[in-house]
Amino acid sequence: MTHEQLELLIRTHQAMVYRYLRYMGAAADVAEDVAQETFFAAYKSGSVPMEDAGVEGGRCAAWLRGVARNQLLMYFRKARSNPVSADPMLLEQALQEADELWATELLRGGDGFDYVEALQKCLARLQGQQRQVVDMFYAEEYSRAQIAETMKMSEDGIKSLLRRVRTALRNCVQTRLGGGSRKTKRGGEDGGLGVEGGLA
Amino acid sequence: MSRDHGDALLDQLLHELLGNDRPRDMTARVLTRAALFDRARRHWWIGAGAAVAALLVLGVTLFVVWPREYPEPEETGIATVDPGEQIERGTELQTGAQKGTLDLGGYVHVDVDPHTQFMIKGKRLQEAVALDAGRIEAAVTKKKGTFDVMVGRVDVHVTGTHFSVQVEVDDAANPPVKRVMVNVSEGAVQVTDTTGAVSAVGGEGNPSDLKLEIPLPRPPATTTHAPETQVATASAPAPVATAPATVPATVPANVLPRSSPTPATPPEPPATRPATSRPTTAPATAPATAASAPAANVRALPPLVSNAKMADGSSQGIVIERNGNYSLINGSLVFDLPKPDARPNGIHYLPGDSVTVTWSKGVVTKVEPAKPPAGIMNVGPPNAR
Repeated sequence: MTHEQLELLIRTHQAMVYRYLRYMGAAADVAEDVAQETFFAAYKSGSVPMEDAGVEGGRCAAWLRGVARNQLLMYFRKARSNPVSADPMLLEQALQEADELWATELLRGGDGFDYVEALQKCLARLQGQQRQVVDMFYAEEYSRAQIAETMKMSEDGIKSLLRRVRTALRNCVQTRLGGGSRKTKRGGEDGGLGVEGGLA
Repeated sequence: MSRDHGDALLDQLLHELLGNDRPRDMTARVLTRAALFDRARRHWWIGAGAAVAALLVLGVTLFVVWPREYPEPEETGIATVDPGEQIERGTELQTGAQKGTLDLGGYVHVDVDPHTQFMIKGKRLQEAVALDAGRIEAAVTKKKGTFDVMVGRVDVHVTGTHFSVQVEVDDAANPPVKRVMVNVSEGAVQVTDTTGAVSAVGGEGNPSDLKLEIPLPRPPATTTHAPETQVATASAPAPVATAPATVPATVPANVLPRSSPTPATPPEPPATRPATSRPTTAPATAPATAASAPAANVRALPPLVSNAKMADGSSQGIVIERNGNYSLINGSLVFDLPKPDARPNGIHYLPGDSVTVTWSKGVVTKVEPAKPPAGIMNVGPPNAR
């Protein structure tokens, strides 16, 4: 692999690899380090499927995800602590399952852009308390305790509310992408934004 | 720990979309690492060479410093002064009429001249020989260890060279001296005496020979002295059977004087010894002089004295040399004096008398009658020296 090829590989896939590692449970700094190791390992191996290296989906991306997962596994083993599981077998299994969901739900045989696009549209429809809690937690990076104080709720209530909003958004995305929707507690479909608490 | 991967996916995407959780561009960092990796891969042989060199250095170092069995002293033609002893450090050793060799620590080879007396001293990698008399020639391998030749207070120190040390006793000198002659044929040595005076011998700008004189210690004043009148009345009950026709000139100076066996003969005044030096192992050649000369480092007894035996009745410790002399290092020796009228070294005695001569480290420390004298025991004129 030439340095030009390596540069192309990094520029094309670094955001995806980072997102993948963060999704797998790595902290931000760990995800950056492991992503670097992933590309460096790819360069040393010399066996990167470069034919679709310039696109985010495809064999090259899948190959890089595999390398990244192994690198993260090694990191978690060395660190002797991780946010997934203390049991090495369970850890490996959990990462494998996470990878499968990544492929089936986010990528859907593509590069995952449509999923993100659908999520942005669903986000735009958030209103009221859901909009407020999502903005405070994700955009303004308030802690749950700070949000709870502002919204006059308990910390557990905020945690529960955030989970419900994510579930509603996930169903909304799936509805938009035509992959069916998840049932809400009220038995409705939140693809139509009828989630409890109200996606408008 | 169960984990909802779908929820985790949404969580990460929301962090990314709303919180701008994205990585910094890592292109430059990874490319730099790749360049370093390429350089190391291209110059792999440098690393391999360095590793091999390091291994070699380690191996050589281990070979040099790894503790190995230290060789014991090996000798040829050398015997212990005490026949019952083994050759080891601290044992008095000597050569006879033949040369001997001694190897110490695997790095010191010593050629020992005939009639040389010495002791192996020192320890592991700091070999040493205390030379009492005679001459040795040593070759010391460099960078192996040190070697010292100690003669009295003089210490000849080397770390790798070829040199010889010879000791001569001049008991005719006043005071008697032990002469140390150091000759360096290769390299350099350092000669130190107990006063701290240091002389470099050999090497650039230094002479290859050095001569030192060490005053000998005076023996304790243990000799008795008989008045002349007693000498005159002494009788000689029996002649010595093995007495030679003439008194040999090899009587050592440490056989102390006594009275004349001939009543009519006045005691002979002390004579002046010639200032000649001789190896201490060689028979004394000094004439019958210096009646009360202090016992010097002379081990040879008068030849042809009869019935020589140790004070304890054994013959242990007596060495009969080829020339017929007796020598011993320590202990007391009882012997019958030779023929009447002999005056070796100005010693007056009565025939048939026995004296006990006590040596310590080659120095006569005491002369006394071996038994109540039949005649008068006189071991030296008063204040002869």
